[in-house]
Amino acid sequence: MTFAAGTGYIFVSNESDDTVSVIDGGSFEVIKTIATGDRPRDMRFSPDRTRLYVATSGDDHIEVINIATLEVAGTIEAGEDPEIFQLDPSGKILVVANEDDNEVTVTDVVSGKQLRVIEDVGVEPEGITFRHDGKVVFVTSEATNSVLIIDPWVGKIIDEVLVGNRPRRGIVTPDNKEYWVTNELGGTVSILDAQTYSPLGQVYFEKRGMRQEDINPVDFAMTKDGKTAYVTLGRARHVAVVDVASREVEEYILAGDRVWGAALNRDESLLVVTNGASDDVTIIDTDDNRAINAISVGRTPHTVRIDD
Amino acid sequence: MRRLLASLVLVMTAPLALAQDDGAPTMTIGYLDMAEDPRYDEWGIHPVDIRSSTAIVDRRGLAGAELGMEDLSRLKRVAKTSFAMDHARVTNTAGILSEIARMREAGAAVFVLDAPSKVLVEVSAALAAENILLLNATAIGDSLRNEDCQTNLFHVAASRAMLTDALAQHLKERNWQEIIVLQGPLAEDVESVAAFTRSADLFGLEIVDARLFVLGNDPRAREMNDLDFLTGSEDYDAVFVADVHGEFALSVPHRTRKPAPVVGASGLVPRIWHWSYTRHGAPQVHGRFERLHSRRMGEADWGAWVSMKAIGEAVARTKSRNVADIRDYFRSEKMRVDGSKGPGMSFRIWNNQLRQPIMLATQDWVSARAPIEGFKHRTNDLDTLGQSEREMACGF
Repeated sequence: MTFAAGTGYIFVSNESDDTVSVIDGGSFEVIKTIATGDRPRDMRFSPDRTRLYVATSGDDHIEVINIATLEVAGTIEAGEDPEIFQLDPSGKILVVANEDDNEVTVTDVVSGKQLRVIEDVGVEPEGITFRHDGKVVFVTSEATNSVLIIDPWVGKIIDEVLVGNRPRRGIVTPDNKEYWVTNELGGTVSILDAQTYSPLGQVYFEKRGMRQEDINPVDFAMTKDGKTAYVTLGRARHVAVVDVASREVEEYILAGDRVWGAALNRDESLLVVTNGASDDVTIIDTDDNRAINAISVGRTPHTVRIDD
Repeated sequence: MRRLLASLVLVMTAPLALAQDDGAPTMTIGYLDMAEDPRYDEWGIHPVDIRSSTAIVDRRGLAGAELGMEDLSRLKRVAKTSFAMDHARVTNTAGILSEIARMREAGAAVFVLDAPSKVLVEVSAALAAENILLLNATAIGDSLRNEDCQTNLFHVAASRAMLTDALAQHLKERNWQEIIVLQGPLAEDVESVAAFTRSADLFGLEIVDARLFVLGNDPRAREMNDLDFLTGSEDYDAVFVADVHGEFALSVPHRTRKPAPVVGASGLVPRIWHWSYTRHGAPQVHGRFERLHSRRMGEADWGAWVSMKAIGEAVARTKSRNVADIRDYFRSEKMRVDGSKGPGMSFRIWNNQLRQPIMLATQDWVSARAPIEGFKHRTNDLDTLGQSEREMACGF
């Protein structure tokens, strides 16, 4: 249950405080609060884990944190109001959703320059998920209730599929066969064939005492063997543990209010989730699926990433 | 008129027009509002609009409908439909009816209305038997959801009862139990007091005094125009003001005889939307609206925007532009429309009212959002706001 290679740091972006909290993975103490640009939201590591990219939506770019010094070391162009982004598996390009402009921007990671902008991607694009072969990216359109399948290398929209209401984030199963997307208002997860884009099924969430309208699935974490998915359920204050093969919920883990972002550590012994409405993160032991700690961070914690 | 409309039923069964460019059929949505609508009365302009921090603004919902059309244009690929809006601004009920007849001849069958309750009662009664859909974007009158309800009329705007229930929940939760009521001279003020009285009963508040007020300075009418007299009661926790006109209400906060919060027409106002709301994707909606119209997005805008979104959602989900299919979707379990204020919203099948959260807003901040935490309903907490199935007098 210890953190392996890397610094062991848990990074949390605090959307309302314009900071990134750095938590020591051993002591669970906040060891540094890094000042960032306006409204930091999604974060991703560089493939070599020397840098952490942070979308600072209010400043219309992505900031690069040097993990050795824990300081902002540069910026990357990302269009206006970048929210969720991902690097392709080769680490060459970065694809970002520009929620306000209803666009998707593709940037060259090395030069930091914008390569192309894809317009007409529905209303309020949000989730950005690469298929593991890097050929296509799945983009959720929150207010159009659809997922767009885009070739980011040429900027072409290949397909668009209607899913549940307010689709937020996606994840592709490790075998590259399925794309899962959370429907925040629909209260479900939709599953598409990652190659043909046809709908395969849905995951439903139901628990005594949990109101249907409070079930707002947002983010995912999935084990590397592709067997287990963790889905954060927002106002329902729980994380669902889903068996990927049967698409059935195995268990619900209590977390904080408006539980939102999620990340597993390297050996998958710990799951860390951000609680957007209680300004803290919950550390969950995945052996017995129980919360073992809660750590105060900044206001409105958005995304969590673990460098271990 | 009846014969004219009967002949038009034949016309609207004609196939919908095809768009020239890419073959996606076009669905035209009719949008009607009024040149003289007391709710958009310009009393505050002398010569600047004192109720706007930026400029003189037209508060009609049309601007929200335009945002809705912008959003619907993005639905084209999945709805396999191009959406268009036909807008007409008219002077009276007859004008609305004749414009609807004209639009139906051109193939439209779904209409969004921004009109006062009284006009909507007349319009919907005249069209009750027609195979069309009417969406009420802005009228809050309770009778429309009760004795004047119609099966082809859907309410996106909240009812007055929903608004006063939201307020009553907040007062109860804050333990501001004893309320004095100040009532203006207009018919809507009477309705507002009736709605608040019902809400107060329901949530266990006590109305300790109720006064009629008039706007003016005549010292002989000081019992009715002077806040020292109007709010001089023995004891109270809060003041509810019923003032649809709104000018008197503005002067009440911070001028009551005893230190007490003011709610209703000023102070803390129950609203279906407010530009300061920052959760549930609302900032993105504010942003899109303000870039389009250079002003804040108001309640009428939200009603018109959500009306358009509900229509688009129905077409995308049912893969049909047929009135019966859209109506069935609206009344089904599956119906959800996203208004960027929290839960997915659906229509109550007993009176076609959209269930929705209500904002309790000061002039520049949403202080609370109802249903207030702790007010629970058997099936859906949104149904703690407004008339329940048992209470209502709509006989679908």
